[in-house]
Amino acid sequence: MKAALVGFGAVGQGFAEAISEDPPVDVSLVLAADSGTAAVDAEGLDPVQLLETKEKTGDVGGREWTPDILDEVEYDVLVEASPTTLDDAEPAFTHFTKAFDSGAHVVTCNKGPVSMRYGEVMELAREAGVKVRVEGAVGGAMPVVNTVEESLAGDTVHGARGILNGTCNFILTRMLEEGLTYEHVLKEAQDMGIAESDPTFDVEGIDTALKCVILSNVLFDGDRTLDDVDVEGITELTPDALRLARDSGHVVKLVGEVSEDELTVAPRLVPEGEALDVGGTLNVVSFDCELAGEVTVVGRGAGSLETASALVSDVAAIARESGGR
Amino acid sequence: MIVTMTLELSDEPGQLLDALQPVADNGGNIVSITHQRGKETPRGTLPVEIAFEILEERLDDVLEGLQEKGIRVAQFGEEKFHESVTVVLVGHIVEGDVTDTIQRVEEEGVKIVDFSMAMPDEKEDTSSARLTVNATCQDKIDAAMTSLDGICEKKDLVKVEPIGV
Repeated sequence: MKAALVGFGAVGQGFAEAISEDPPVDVSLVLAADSGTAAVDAEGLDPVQLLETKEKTGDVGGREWTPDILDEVEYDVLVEASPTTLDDAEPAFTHFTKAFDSGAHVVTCNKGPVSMRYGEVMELAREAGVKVRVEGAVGGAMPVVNTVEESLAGDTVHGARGILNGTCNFILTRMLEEGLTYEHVLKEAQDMGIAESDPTFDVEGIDTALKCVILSNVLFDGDRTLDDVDVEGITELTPDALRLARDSGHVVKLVGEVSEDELTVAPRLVPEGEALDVGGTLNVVSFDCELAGEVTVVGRGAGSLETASALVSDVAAIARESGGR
Repeated sequence: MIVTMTLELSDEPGQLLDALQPVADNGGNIVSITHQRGKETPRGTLPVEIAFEILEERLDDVLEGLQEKGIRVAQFGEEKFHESVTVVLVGHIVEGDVTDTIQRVEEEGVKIVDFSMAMPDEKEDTSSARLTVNATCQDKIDAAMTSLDGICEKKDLVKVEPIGV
């Protein structure tokens, strides 16, 4: 399986590391690109060497990166791991289209193209006769998308609800346990590297909303975008509110709810001991299925290695489907 | 709404079925039936307690139906709260006239049975509250929640409601 890897940040590097060890499928990396540079070798690059070069020089390759390099090499699958951008989801959307033009499948952890332009992406992929797999974009290593598309393929999934942002869940868990204010716990989370220095994306519920959009598009084959989500974050919550909720047997969680006619992200009261009552940085998704009833998946939703593992799984799935090329 | 009543039936076959007919005819849903054997009335009838769910406006028809059949209603229970929801509010709850908030929610025909508040240390910080709303049916709960949404928007309060509502 020949792969082109675009995006060589934490997740991209995690992918390189994973395929250099004992991958479930033979991956030959013919292209690796970060935001400024690229390395190309039709015979296959050495992932270990790429990681060393990146660490030493800050660049993955010696060439200046432009998306046109994707037209130069032959590959079976594009692994898109560049940072998520909203609105037109560029430049990732261009990377996608270039892959489709050369008849390559796409595996991605980039939430942009599949939350802002899902309909377009899927239409182009259909025309090109290739697959797009997005497991890495929702809940890291947790099998969310593939649970729907494969394990529950014979069932009707009416909807899903879940906690899809580890940063928010960590903050709410700490606020409740220690009675600390939101501001205090946010700072703590930033010191621990759990929250970004600009936490807006997480705490305002946008990250959760994007994942809900993707989940909705996968579940209902739709074309929803971020604009279709009612989003409320956790910034207004107080330790008192969490305590009052607990006194009535509830925990407050930032919950995303996905159904055919609803798409919301808001702090919610979850009965203690319910499937969604998971603490710390854990993520959880619960599917409401016609035959199977409630099916719940819990796991670490973020982290570069976790997300990289989802990318490798998706590449392996494509290799399997296309007869192990 | 849920209604409980004690009927006095004669101890003959088919009596109970006959007594339940008006409930069924009016779209009622029987929740429980308790035969109070051994508690025969001086008149020799047998008290049977039934509880059923029914639309408020159909209740009179049920009573009428029972009367037509000559069935005596010995006791007529008050409606029981059947539905309940708990929500948490965050914001300037007191400054936003908490009495007005409670009144306006209760105007939807529900009862606020619990209201707990926590005041902030600093006056300018937000306060938090938990309220439990009881009602005789889900429609009233829904109406109360819609009303509360409007109040929260106007008074700039955050409302945290249970999942799946």
